[in-house]
Amino acid sequence: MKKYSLLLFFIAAMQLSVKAQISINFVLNANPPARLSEWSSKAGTATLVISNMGPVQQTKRCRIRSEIKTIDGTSIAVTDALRTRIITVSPGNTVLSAADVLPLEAMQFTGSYNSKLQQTGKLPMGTYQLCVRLDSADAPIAITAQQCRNFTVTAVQLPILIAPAPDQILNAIVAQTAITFRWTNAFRGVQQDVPNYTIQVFEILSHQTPLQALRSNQPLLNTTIKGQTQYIWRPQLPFNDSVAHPFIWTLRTTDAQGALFTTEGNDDGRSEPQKFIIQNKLVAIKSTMKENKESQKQD
Amino acid sequence: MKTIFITLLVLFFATENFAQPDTTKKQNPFSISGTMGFTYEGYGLHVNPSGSGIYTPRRPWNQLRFNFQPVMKWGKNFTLPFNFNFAAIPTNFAGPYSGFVSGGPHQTIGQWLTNPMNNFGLNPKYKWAELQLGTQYLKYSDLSTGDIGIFGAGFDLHPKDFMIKFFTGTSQQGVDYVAGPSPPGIIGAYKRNHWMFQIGKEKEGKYKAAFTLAKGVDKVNSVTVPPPTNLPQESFVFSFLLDKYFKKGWYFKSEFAQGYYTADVTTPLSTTTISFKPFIDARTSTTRDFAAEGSVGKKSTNYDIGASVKYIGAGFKTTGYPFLQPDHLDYTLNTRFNAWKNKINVTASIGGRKNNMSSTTIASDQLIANVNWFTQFSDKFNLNINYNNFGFQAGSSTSIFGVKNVSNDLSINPTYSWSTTTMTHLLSLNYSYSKYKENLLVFPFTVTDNNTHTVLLTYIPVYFNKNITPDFSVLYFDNQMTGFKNSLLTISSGLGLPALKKKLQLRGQIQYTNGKLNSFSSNNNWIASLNTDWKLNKKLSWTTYMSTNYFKYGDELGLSTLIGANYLESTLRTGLQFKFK
Repeated sequence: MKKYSLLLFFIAAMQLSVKAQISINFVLNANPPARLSEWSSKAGTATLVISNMGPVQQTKRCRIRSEIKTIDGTSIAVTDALRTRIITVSPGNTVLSAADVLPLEAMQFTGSYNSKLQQTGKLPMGTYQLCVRLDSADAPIAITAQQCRNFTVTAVQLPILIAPAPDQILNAIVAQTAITFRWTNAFRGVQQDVPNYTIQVFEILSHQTPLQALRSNQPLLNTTIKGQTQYIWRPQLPFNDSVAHPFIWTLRTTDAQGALFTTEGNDDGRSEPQKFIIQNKLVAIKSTMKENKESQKQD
Repeated sequence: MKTIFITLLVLFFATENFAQPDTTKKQNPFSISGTMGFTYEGYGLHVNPSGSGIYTPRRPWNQLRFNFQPVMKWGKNFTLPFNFNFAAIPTNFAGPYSGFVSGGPHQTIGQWLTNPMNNFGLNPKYKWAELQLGTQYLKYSDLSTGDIGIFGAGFDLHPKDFMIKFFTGTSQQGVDYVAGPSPPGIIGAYKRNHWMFQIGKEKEGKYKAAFTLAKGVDKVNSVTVPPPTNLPQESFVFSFLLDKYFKKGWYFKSEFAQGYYTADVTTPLSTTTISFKPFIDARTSTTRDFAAEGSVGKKSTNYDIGASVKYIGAGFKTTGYPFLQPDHLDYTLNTRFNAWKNKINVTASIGGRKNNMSSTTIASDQLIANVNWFTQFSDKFNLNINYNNFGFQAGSSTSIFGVKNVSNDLSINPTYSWSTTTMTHLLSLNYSYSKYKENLLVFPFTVTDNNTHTVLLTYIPVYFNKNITPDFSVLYFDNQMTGFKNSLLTISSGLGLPALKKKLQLRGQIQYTNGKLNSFSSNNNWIASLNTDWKLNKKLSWTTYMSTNYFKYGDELGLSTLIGANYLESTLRTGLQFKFK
């Protein structure tokens, strides 16, 4: 018994001496990407600086223990000590990024948060805490104090195109003068500035599908509007013939600094595009009237 | 490009001779139909003052497009359709190939073949068996794949009422990132490979049941300089589709799909998310979710009625539909009916959309209603009324963001026609009123009222004994919101007439618009266009389109040096089309 007490005392003493030498400084972006797997690919999301500055300079082995809590302190995710990687801390400063601070492959999420993560890759909208500390590599014993930082996640909502409606047929004579485009507002986290909307309209050629036209052609309209959710376009193009003219349009949203509003799989920041058609319906009526009269004459 | 042009000309003359009408009594087992040709497009822009940047070119200065689309047929059972469409000068603006423009980096052969500007497809078919080679735009179902062109190989078999389909190929080659801005730069892309498979039973007009698998994956090592903003993705979807058509026009359609989507294939393997081996291994950036859609209704001569629902899960994403917006539920009721001895025709629909049901961002609701009412009161007079209502609300006054938009659009269109012995007169009036209101529910609580009135009067005389077809229109457009008033007055006229014993069809149009923005002086816009369609012989036609657009500003640009600034834009499109049969 005495032997074991001595051993425990020795380990604790060692840990205390290590703790005194190593400290951490944790910096977290208060509005990181909503998708947790993106943290590791977005530079500057999270930074952990480990300082090994003790009087006796030696390399230490440790693990990062990370825990996500709701704002009321309820734990919703924690790293699995057996699966986190061992970090070798050399004398001096070691700088680690989000990939080590939030190793998703080694984290266990609880209950509904686990389901939400598997379904969406995100946490429900709200404010959370991320708490970080260093543990011994050999046992889950803290060797630094814990540091917690708050962060808020809200997924991006790109604008939804309203008008013209999908596959709507616009009167050619009216469209030659003006076409009114409308869309819903974009939002991303806490609204700090007014977004910019770049509206783009592409002509669909006869051999193209709508998406093919969007990816192939130069846009006939490419203009940026600040904050407003409506734009009146004067096409300055003649449509008054017998042909139907199909177009596809979309929006690209940026913030005041020009950074795109992106969502998963949509790094282009483009809203789901929609097609509309410009056609002169009266030309069809005119042709029908002439054909009817000619057939009446023949009868 | 010269070689391609000469080759096409040789093909053209060869097939022209080969496709001469057979004068023998025996039926020729071989026939060819379809078209081939080329089109040149030229664009010019003159801006005054030069270098002011008041207007930028919106078409390529020159473009040459080729199409080769014959359908060769041997006997009753074997057909070989070609679908070759390609352009000389790349103009990609959006998507993975954006930046390939004249003066910029050159494409490799592989990149050129898979560039969405170009199609090279062959679909030989014998009875119920079709081989699909080259560029194909294949839609397997609404929730699996259908929106992208893939260059590859596959087949589509329909023995009796069975069906088996398979296709594999590449939708985009690896494209190295090139920094802009001069030349424009290329955003870059990973090479993306696809596989798709469908098996089931189908009897047209009766039923369709099909099981579909679709996979797409980006190859990480396909580029030397990876794109800085695009991550290499992977997706796998399996779906079951069931459509049934009953007697008396009743129908039922449904599809259920489960999808796996990996936002970044370089992230570590996940120990918690369930994989779907061997099709996809789950990673820490993988999401798994489902989507479903269903509709039921009846179509008949005198009325239609239908209801549909579509749900896309927050984590459902497929490379087959790259712009599909996830995390929403759509529902629609629609109807159409005739009344009063078929003199009244009414179409109506009402539907809604719930966005962001996963609670990962602010939830929002949309309501869309539409009614179109057409009545033929007599042979001379008819009336069309159209009403659209759109509502959108996201968040509330107590959330971090809240906005409410409501749009009401009403259009009334009476048309009157009367005839004499020599002509018919058609007079159409269209009045539209659009009322749009946006309320910000959080600070600064801005309210925006935006109203638009449009009045259009059109007169079309139809001559019985003359071949000219003129039309005349006057339009007034007025849009107002707080601090902003924009009015436009447009006068336009068109004329069509044949020439050269009706072998040449001409159509010209001229339009003048006077615009006034707030209290600034008016701007003026002239547009003129001419279309010609000349049938050189039974098989060859030459079409030409020319347009000119002249715009002169008032003083709305704000600088004294730009008062009266103007630009002249001209477009020419001319081409020859040969019809094989």
